[in-house]
Amino acid sequence: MAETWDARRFCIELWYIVIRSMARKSTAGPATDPELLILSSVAGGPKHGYAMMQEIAAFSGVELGPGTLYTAITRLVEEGWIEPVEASGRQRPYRLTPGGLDYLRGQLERMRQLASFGLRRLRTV
Amino acid sequence: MKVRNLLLRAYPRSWREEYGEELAGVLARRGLTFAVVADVLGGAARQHLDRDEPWKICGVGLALWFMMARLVAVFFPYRTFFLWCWFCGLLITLASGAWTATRSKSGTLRSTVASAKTALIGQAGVVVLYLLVLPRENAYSFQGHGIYYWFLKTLALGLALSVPFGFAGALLGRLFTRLRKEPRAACLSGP
Repeated sequence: MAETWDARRFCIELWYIVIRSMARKSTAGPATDPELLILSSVAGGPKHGYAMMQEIAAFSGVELGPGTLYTAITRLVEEGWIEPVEASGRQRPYRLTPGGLDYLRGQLERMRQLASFGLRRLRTV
Repeated sequence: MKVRNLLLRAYPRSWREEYGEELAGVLARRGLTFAVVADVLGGAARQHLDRDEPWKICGVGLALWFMMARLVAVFFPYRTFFLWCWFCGLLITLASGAWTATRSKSGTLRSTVASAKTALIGQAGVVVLYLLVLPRENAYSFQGHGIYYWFLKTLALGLALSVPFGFAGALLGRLFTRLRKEPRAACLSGP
């Protein structure tokens, strides 16, 4: 006998797939967060967007797309964690603000604590 | 060059004025692959969500929803389906009011008006769909009164319903903003 199509069951399964995919967390981890990567990059001195992309790819292996990069830069500027430096050319460099420095220090300290805790636990395994 | 200009135009004007030239510079130095185009378009969508007025975004969403619903209704003309479509539409107007209230500093009135604007754009979508695609002699929809009567009736009903839903959304939005602003510890400790 051919199986009848159950619309209700189909909708429930579809909904389940949607909810599961929405709830899925990034598996890349905090070390690939664009905002932290940008803050780490400009901590070494003012840089424009393209220079940030190149440096981030070199030190972390993460290739940020232009859209992701400027979405993160926009948010960081709005939060007051980086600020543009006046420049005559087409590319505007950005520098870290004191607030951005505090935020970056806090985030990296938290990551360091987590990493050292996890590594200690791994040694006992 | 043309594709890069089109990609830039996907961003909101206010954003382009501030960062457009820099992004153009970065795009000029990078090859355009599918991943880069998708990334830039994703960034543009994000900026629209962050910068555009909520009633515009919700209005376009509502118009698309109603258009889709009317097309489906050609094959599925049940009253329950119409009611369900209207209910979802009203939830979108409620969301428009709530979103406006969380974003703007002005109060309930502005959020309610935003919901009414959302409803207007949503109804405009249905009107355009009728004028362009659907057969005009649809007896179920017009009930013998003609297309303009139906347009006016739908518009009036949409506006009338959007006001209470927008108002409720505005109250929800303000409540949400208040809860978010007040420190959690102060709420938990009580008076």
